[in-house]
Amino acid sequence: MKHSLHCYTETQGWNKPLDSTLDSPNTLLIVFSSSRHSVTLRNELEKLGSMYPQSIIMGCSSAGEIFDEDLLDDSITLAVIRFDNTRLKLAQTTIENPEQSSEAGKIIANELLEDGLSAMFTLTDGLLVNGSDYISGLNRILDENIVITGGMAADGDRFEETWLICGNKISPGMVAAVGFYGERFHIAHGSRGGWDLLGHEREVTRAENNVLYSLDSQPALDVYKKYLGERAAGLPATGLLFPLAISNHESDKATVRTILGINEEKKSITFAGNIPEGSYVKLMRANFDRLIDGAAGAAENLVTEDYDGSAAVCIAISCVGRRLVLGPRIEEELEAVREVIPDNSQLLGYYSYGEISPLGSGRCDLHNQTMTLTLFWEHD
Amino acid sequence: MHRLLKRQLRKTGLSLDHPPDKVQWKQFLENISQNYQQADDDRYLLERSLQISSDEMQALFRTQKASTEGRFQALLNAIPDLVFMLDEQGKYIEIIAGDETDLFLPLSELKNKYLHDIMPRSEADTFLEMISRAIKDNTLQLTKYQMQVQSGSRVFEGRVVPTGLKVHEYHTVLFLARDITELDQTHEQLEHIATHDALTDLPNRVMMHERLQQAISRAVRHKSRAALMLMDLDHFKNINDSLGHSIGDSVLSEISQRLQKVSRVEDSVFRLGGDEFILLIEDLDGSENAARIAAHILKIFKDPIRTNNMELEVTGSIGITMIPEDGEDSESLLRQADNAMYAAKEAGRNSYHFYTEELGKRSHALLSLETRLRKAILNNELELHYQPQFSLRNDELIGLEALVRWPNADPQHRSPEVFIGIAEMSGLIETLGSWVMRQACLQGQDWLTRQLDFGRIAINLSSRQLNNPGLAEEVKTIMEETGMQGHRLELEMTETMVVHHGSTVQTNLEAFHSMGIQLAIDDFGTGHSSLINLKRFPLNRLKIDRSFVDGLGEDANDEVITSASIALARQLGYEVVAEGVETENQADFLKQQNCDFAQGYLFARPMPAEAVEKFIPALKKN
Repeated sequence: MKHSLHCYTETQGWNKPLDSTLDSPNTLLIVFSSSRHSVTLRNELEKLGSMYPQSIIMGCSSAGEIFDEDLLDDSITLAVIRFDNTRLKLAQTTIENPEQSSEAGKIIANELLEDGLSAMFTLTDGLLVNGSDYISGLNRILDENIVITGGMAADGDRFEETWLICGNKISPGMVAAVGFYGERFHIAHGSRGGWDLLGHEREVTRAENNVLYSLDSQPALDVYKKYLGERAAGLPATGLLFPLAISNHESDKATVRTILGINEEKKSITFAGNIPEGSYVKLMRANFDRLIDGAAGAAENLVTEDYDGSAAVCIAISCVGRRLVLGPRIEEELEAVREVIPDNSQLLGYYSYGEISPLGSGRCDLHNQTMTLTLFWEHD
Repeated sequence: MHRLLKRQLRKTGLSLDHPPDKVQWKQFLENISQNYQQADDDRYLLERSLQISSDEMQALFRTQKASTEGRFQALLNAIPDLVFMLDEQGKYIEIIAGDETDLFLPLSELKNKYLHDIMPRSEADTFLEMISRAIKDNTLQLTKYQMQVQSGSRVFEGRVVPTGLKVHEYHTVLFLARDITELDQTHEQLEHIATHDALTDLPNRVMMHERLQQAISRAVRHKSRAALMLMDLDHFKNINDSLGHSIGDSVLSEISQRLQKVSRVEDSVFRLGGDEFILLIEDLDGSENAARIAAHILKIFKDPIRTNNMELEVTGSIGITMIPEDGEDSESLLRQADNAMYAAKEAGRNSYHFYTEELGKRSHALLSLETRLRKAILNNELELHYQPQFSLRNDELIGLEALVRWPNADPQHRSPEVFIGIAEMSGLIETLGSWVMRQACLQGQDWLTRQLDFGRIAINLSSRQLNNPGLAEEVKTIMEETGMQGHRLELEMTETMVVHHGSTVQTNLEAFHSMGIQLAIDDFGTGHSSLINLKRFPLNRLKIDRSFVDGLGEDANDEVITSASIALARQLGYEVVAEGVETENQADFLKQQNCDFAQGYLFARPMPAEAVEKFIPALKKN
């Protein structure tokens, strides 16, 4: 495997020239870009297709681009990875509303399900997809030993429009995934939150799929506004300061859900994943140190015994909620990750509206408010 | 240096070695200010969220506490128990619920006192022991106790439950005391009702069985003797039938009082039911002793019983069985006493009789015979035979006497005297009587529809039947069902049955008379009663007993009695029938004395129905 990582800013251009000699059918370009409309950024993205005509290009809009230990805004981060012994395949489909999420998952999975499929990296629209349903669609088709990681696109803290880049196409309303085939390909993953629980358990008294209407018979939006006080004006973004933990009484591990949008009229809140009616939830709050420890924990999860020291790429997908909470200290979580991941690996990533990776049980799931890491390499 | 400050220095391109230029300095300060602002925002949000969360928790806690307390209080209000908390030393920690008057002392005086301070040592010790057991074994302890509390002497059911809590280093228990005074009394009353007779308040059969069992065990264990006496009033049924049950009840009450008076304290008197009483006499020297006591008991009947301005002569018969000689099993002892009591009745009543093995055998045979007879009635194994009666004036057939026969019976029981006797003793006689009545009516009606004129059918009644207030109604029903008319029926009874009568007999006879049924006195002359006594009854004829008819033409006395009887009867307006006429001489004598009718072997023997059907047409031809 040969790879090269780059970043582009309007003021400084590419940090180093793009190397088109890596172009091949086994080359993967992973791109994360600011969601802000910028002609220059858009031009640079469009150029990639012509520079790497044989390669697979997949990327999405973000809420902050990660390049090594740095967090950038208004930038493009790019990984060009040419595999020597791994076949790649890209699958993509469009989606108009969250109800189609499960079906989209099935389409993607069916398209990539071929002999030798060992892992999948997927990106989805951040606002039009119900992440939980999309993943359950994937899981319905794919065996659980096929590792699935990825994330949902983001739109800064605006929650207006997210998009994907797939080959030459840049568009909202897309889901895409690249499949990795072959025995030399290796993947490792880790995911951690690090949030603290706040207050008492509340019953979900009314919810439909990923829309929450009431907690303990009080309008859900009122509960959030009460906690946010003057910062309620910043909703839905400030809602990320209080993620929701859904209690799972069977395994005492809670599923965390992050806010995607609000409806003032219905006093409802839309989350990135489903909130089952009748379940019990707790608000969560940030504890800086624990969030940063969480990121390091995700990195520790990642380091596996079968890693042989080969050159590796680490994709970090962290939640926009963390960025909002950590503010100027956000890079501390990147530093923490960098300290733990192998020296011979390079770090690239973005801040997302939802993270995808397997749970402890092995089944892929949607996470929110986590730092989720994917490490891949090829061994000789 | 703080990591953040270090990173900010790096990001603005500043180093610790050189002072910054103006642009860098401005940028750096802006960053610092932003960070301070961010820190303020974070603190605001954190403090706010912690405060709200804390308030919410507090509210939740209050709601839950109120709800828990509300439920707990409602529960305490709902249970009638006194509830208090004690520690393992017996100290009253808290009085939680209950009626204060059920407490040993007023509430205010009880708290922090010890059990030993307020109640006798022995009671306090008992409770302390329960408390320590409850704590040690972690179990519920139950007790029932009586205590003098503020509201008086009350009975409580106490429950001691360990709380698992300590107060000042001492384990505690909850003591729940439920006032069960009324329940306890009701329980005792119910037990009394269950074991005593309502009329006399004597212990009943239930109690008797228990005591008899104990007496048997004692007699066996101490090698002592006891007697079981069963006393039955003689002819008590007549009192009930003729004077009514309330008089019967006062007789029974009076007898029970007299029995209790004559018996010793250690003897037990029970009412078994009806007019049967049991006396259980323990620690006897022997049967002579028992006999003396029985004789003494019979003296209670010496004085008549006065009730409702009447004086009633009542007597009783006693059957005695000895424990353990006659048996050690209560059921057999009772049966033996019963046999002995019947023996006393047979021996002329108003006496006592000991059980003997001979009695046992006899009663067993009787029982099995009774069973067979009952089956025979049910299975229609009995038959009616008919003996014709003729007019002595013109030799015409005037009627048939129906006589019951049991053809399948063992030879020794086949005689009507034997099996009718058994039926009378066992009470089967009423069933038998009904059967005869219905059968005779059916047969008579059958003959009438076939133009076979037999005159009337005479049917014998038993004393029990005649004393049954429902008899007239029963006869009426049978007549309606069979279509038989009153003037075709004649009912026969003995003079003793009517002379020693109760009102029931009189009522029945009048009812029969109004239904057109003829009434006859059977076996006339054997009852030693005067004809005058019969005048009150609506009788139609007298039947002169065969014992007088036998002597006609041979015994002058019989002739005088017969002719006088006939003359007197005719003067009183009765017709006369002579029974058992066997010779021409007897018939001639009777004709001379103007006797109306006769029956006997001279004219015709009793015959089955088929024979009657040939006999009557044959008469017509002659």
